[in-house]
Amino acid sequence: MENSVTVIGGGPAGLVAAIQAKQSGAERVTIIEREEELGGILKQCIHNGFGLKLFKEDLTGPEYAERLIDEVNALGIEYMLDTMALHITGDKEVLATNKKLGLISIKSHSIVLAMGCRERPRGNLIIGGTRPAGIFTAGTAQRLINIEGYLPGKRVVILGSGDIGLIMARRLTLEGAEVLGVYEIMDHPGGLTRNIVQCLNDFSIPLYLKHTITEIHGNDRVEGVAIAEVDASLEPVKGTERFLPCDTLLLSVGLIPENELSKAFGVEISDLTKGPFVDETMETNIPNVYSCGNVSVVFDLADYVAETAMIAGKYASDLVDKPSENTVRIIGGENIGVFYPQRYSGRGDLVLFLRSKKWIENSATIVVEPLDMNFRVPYARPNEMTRIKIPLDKLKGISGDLRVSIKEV
Amino acid sequence: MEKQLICITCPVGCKLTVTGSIEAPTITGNRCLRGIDFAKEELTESMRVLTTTVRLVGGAIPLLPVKTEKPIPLRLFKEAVSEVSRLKVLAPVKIYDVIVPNILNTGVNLIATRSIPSTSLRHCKEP
Ligand SMILES: Cc1cc2nc3c(=O)[nH]c(=O)nc-3n(C[C@H](O)[C@H](O)[C@H](O)COP(=O)(O)OP(=O)(O)OC[C@H]3O[C@@H](n4cnc5c(N)ncnc54)[C@H](O)[C@@H]3O)c2cc1C
Ligand code: SF4
Repeated sequence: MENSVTVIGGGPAGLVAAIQAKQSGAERVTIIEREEELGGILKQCIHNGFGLKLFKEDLTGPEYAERLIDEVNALGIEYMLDTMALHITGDKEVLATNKKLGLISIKSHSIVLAMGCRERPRGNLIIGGTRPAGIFTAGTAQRLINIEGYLPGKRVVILGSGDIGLIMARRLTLEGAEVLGVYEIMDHPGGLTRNIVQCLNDFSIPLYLKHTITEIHGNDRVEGVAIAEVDASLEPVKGTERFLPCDTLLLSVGLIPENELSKAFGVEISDLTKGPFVDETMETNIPNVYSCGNVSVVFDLADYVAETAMIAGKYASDLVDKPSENTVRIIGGENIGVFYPQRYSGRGDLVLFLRSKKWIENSATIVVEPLDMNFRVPYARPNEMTRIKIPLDKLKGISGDLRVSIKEV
Repeated sequence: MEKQLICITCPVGCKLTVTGSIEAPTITGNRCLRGIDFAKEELTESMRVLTTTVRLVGGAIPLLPVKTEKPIPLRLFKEAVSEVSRLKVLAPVKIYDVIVPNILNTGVNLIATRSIPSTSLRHCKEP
């Protein structure tokens, strides 16, 4: 079959990209999703806090997904469920497989990569001791409780204070488990402040900063963990170790974009974001191949995911091959942790997402050189992305690199 | 009285300081007026939206996600969840169907946050 736009992944990024591509005039748009339903991670995020920007409403994950799916259906966008994209060939043929049709090949003008991210598996973590049952990533626990209806344990310790771990601390408590504490190796929490308040403080769950787990005990099932304080170089402090009996350990230690497919196809991946290098249109180094959402960089708001998907969908629908313009690099200057996108090609407005390296609690200024533009922001924090938008007319005729920095004021 | 609060109305998370009396508190540290409303409410009764799941019978998945239509008192969360955990709902369900009217006499309905058809999920449109 021949397609105008093929979208790989049916989470919020893929849904929004498909909707936008169709609305911008693409004739035939198809979404490929490996699960039995569209919606991606949103299906298991039953809590509220989504959609404040996109829908101007406080929605839960499933509501957010359903609104997008309704729109996909209304627009006549095609989708293939239970279908795994395996490979993309040099002439943009997506090879996929499902139980009914076997191997499928879809040729299309544009491809949008929207495969999302996954949790860092525990294999990446160095914790001593045994490997009994009862160790879960926070996202797996979320799926077990919210979709499958199964409580993973009764006495739970959470390692890492990322948002998914915080949300799960509350969820487990409400479902009758005892959450003994959240242990974070850094001196500040990984998740949003409001989640510390409404997921931990509201339920008197303690948060221990500068602590880690040094050992897991138990043969068949987790029987406990050894907890220790860490010093400035994050090494456990001798003499602070203590044993904490528990039956479950949840790991909430970060997300990584899922890019095996992109890499095999020759898409260049950034070391900083672990996702494809893109320009302001979300186009990768391969013409007419776009990338958006958490496969590009881990966002902390689904609404930011949707914004990148709108951009990708719009440009992917433009079936006229674009002449390659003068592309400049975007460079992370002072105090920039992560930034996205990494290139500017002179085709549109530049929506730039940044993470600060330092915690700046009072005003900060984002400076983009050599442009004569400053953006004042109330604060800059490593655990929250900041978004700025630079209109096309300010960027006209730019030739050298664009350097972005965050300065304290 | 002096009390420290964190406003959770938006992701900024302002650190609020409350002094004076409960009846006439003085609130500082808020970046916008919603912080004042939050602090006043928090001093009398913490109100939150409850999200949880209900057992579903005859649907393609075993659980239905639900939420309270409006915030309810936080102190009622455990009781509300245990009431909800005794329920069984029959598929099909439409998004925003009322699952428990006036939960625990709060005047707030518990509503479905997604639609679930009664048969199989596979309504895949083959291209
Ligand atoms: C466990 C977990 C919990 C999260 N909780 C929250 C939260 O509470 N709030 C929040 O704002 N964000 C949360 N996030 C971040 C979340 O990923 C984003 O908010 C948002 O869902 C990202 O959208 P996406 O479309 O980029 O990715 P996803 O929602 O992950 O969607 C990607 C889709 O692509 C599909 N896919 C991947 N590879 C293939 C392939 N080869 N072939 C076919 N299909 C494929 C996947 O099945 C999936 O449906 C969470 C992330 C994870 C991993
Ligand atoms: S006071 Fe205003 S800006 Fe500050 S957290 Fe509350 S709502 Fe947000």
